[in-house]
Amino acid sequence: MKRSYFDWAATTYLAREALERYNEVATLYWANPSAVHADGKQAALFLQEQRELSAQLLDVDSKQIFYTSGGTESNSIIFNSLLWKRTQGEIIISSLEHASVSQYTRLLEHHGFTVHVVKAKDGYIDLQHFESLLNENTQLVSLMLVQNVLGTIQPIKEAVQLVRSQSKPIFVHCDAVQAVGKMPLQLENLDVDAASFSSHKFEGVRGVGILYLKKGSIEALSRGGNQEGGLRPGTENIASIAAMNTALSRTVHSLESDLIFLKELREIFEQELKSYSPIKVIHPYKERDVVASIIHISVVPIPSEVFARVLSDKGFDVSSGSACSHNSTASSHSLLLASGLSKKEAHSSLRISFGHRTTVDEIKALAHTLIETHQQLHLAIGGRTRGH
Amino acid sequence: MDTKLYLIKQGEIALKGQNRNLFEKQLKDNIKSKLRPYHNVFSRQKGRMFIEIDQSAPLSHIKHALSTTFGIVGYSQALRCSKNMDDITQVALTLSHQSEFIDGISTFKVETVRADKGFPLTSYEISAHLGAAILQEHPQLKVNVRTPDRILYVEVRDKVYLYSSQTKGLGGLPVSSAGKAMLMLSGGIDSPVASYMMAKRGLKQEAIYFHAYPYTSDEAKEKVLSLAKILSPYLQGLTVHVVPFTECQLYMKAHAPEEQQTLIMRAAMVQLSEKLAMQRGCKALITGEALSQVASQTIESLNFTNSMASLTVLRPLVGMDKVEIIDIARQIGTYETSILPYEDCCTIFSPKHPLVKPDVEFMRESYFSLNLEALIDKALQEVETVFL
Repeated sequence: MKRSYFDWAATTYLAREALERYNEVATLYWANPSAVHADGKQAALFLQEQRELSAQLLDVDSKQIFYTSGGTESNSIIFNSLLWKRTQGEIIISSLEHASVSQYTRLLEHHGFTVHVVKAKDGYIDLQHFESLLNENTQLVSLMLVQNVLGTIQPIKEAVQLVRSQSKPIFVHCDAVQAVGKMPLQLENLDVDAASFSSHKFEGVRGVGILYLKKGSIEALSRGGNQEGGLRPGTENIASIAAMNTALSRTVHSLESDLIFLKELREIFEQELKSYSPIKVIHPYKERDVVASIIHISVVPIPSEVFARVLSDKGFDVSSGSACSHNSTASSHSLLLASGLSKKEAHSSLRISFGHRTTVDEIKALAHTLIETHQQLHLAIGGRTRGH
Repeated sequence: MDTKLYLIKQGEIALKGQNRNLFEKQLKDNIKSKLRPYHNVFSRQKGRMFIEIDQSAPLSHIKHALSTTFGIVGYSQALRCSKNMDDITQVALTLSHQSEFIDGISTFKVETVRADKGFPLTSYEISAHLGAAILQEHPQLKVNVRTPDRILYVEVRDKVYLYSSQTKGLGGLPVSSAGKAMLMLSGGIDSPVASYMMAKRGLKQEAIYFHAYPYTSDEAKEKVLSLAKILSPYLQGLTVHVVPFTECQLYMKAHAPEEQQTLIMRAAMVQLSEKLAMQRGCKALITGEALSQVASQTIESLNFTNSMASLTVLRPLVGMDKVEIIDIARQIGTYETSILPYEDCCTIFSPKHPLVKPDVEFMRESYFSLNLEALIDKALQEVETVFL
C-alpha cells in the first residue's frame, strides 16, 4: 500500500542530500576538533566554516550559534541555567509551550522561582494577560513562535516589544523549532535573546540542533570539555551539523517557492473539506496568523486515536496528539483546552502537517479519505435506535 | 552424571489424604517441564521431594523453575552423605565454608530431624556434635539457639541431607491439580492478579481477551499478550484467545439503551467466554471483579452478569481493596505493564451514567431482545489463538 506522510511537524523525511553530506563529512572530518594534530585541526577548521554557514543561513553572527542535540536540549540549557541565579525571580511561559519548556515549571518552583503561565485565547497567547504578568521581578520570558499542534503563529514580536518597554532588561527565549521552513524567519527582527532549533524538523538528521544566543554567556546543562564555548561540552557532532546545514540551506533558499506551494496545498485541502461540515478546520488559513503546513481539524464525535488508526490503515499518517512524547494524549488534550477548544473538539481532533514533498494528489486523497472515514465511523458508532 | 541436589518442601500437599499421590505427581510434572532441557531425577520421601539436576543447569534456570511453581513452600540446595557420623561431620564442615552459610554471620545453630529412628544418635546429640565441629573450624562464630543468624539443617532419612539456606516458594497447590478455567483477561491491574490467585489453588487456565480494533489499539492487545507472558510461568504456560469484538460492540452501542451498555457488554463477554470455556474443557470462569469497584461490579450488576453463566464464576478479588491488589500485582511483576496507557475500552462505549443497580430480570430481557447469538458465534469463529 502506498503511504502518504502527513506528520511533518513530528519529524520530516531525511533529505537525500543531507544524508549524502553526512556520509561525506563523517568520512573526511572524523578527527576530534579539540586535538592538536593536523587531522583534528582540519576538523576544527571545518566546524568553524559550518558555524559560519549556519549563521549566514539564519542571518546572525557565528558567535551566536551553539550546536546542541536538538530542540529539547536547547530549551533545557536555557531553563537549567536559571538554577544558577542568586535571586529567584519570576518566569513567564505560555500555556501553549512544548513539554520541554512547560515541564520545567515544577523544577523551577521547587527552586523558589515563581512561574507564570500566559493564558491562550483561540490558539494565541493573550497579550493583555502577558503584559499584566510582566514586572520588575521578571527574569525570563519563554514563548514559542509556531504552536506545534495548532500551527498558530504567536505574536512574538509584539510580546517582545512589551518586554522591552519594561524598565529592567528581561531575557527572552523563543522556541522556534516549528518555524523553520514554515514561515519567513528573521531572528534580529524578532529581537529575542535566545532561540531553539531542531534539525529533524527541516529534513536534517536527528540528534542535532542549534541554540541561538544573542550575547553574553549562560550556564551549561552538562559538565565536561570546553566545546561550544563551554556551553555544550562533548565532542562535536560534525557530520550531523554539516548535514543539518545542507538541509537548512535547501530550506532557506527555497523558502519563498515552498511557502507558495504549501499555501496552495492548504487551500486545496480546505476547499475539498468545505462541502463537508462535520469536519472543521480549527484555524482556517490566514497568512501571518497560521502556518500553511500545519492544519488542526476537529472530527467530532470520533476519538482522535480511533480516527488516526483507521487513517493509518488506509495509508495516511496523521497525528492524534503531540507525537514527541509517546501517548501524550493527556498533555496535548490540556493544551487544546487551554487554547479555547471545547472538550468535545479536544477529544476529537487531528493534526495534519505536510511539506514541500507532499503532492497535490496526496492532499486531495487525504481530504477525500477524511470525509469517507468520518462518514464510515460516524455511521458505525451512531444510528442509535432506542427501542426500550 | 554430576548433579546438583535440591530439596523441595511441599506444604499443603503433605496434608492431603488419599489424593496426595495425584498432587505430588502433578507437582513433579510441573517442575520437570520447567527444568527442561536439563536432565533431572525425582525421589520422594515423606513431606519432601528431592531432585537431582544435571550439573550444567544454570542456577538462574533452576531458581526460576522452582520460584514460579505452585505447590512448593520452600526449597534448598542440599548435600547428601551416608549415615555415618564421620561423613556427616565432613559434609557439615564443607557446607560451613560455603558462602551461603558463612557470609555475614556471627551466630548459628544446627537443627536435626531424625526421620530414621534407627540412627544411633538422637537429634540433639547430632546437632551438638556438628555444632562443636563447626565452632572448632570457625572459632569466630558462636552458637545461638534462639535467634541464630544461620541454621544448618540436618535430615536423617534413607541418607543424610544437609542444607543451610532455604528459599521461600509460592505455596499453594500445583497448577492443573484443580482442573482448568477460562480467565477473562483485560489489560488492567486486576485480572492478572485474579489469575495468579486461582493458579495458586491449582487451576490451569486459558485466557480470553476482547479486542475492538480500531476502537482499541493494537498496542492494547500487545499489552495483554505481554501480561499473559508474565503470567505464563506461574500457569505452566498460557493460551490466549483474542476475540474480535468490534462488530458486537458496535451493534450493542447502536441497539442497547445507553445506560445499559456497559452491563450488556459484560453480559455478552461472559456468554462468549462461557461458550469458549466449554469448547476448551474449562470448568469455571475467572474474572478480576472486586465488589463495587466500578458500576458493573456492584452486587446488583454482578447478579446480572452472573446470571449469564452456568459455570461457576470465580472472583478471587471480590473482597479486596485496590491497594492489596496492587501489592500482589507488583509482587508477580504485572503492575508495570498493567499501568501502560493503552486503554482496553474506547470512551465511545462507556456511557456517562451507567446503571449501577440493575434489575436482573429486566436486564436479562433487554439483553436477550438484542439477539446477539449470531454475532457472538461469528466472533467465536474468528478467534485468534496465541500460545505463550
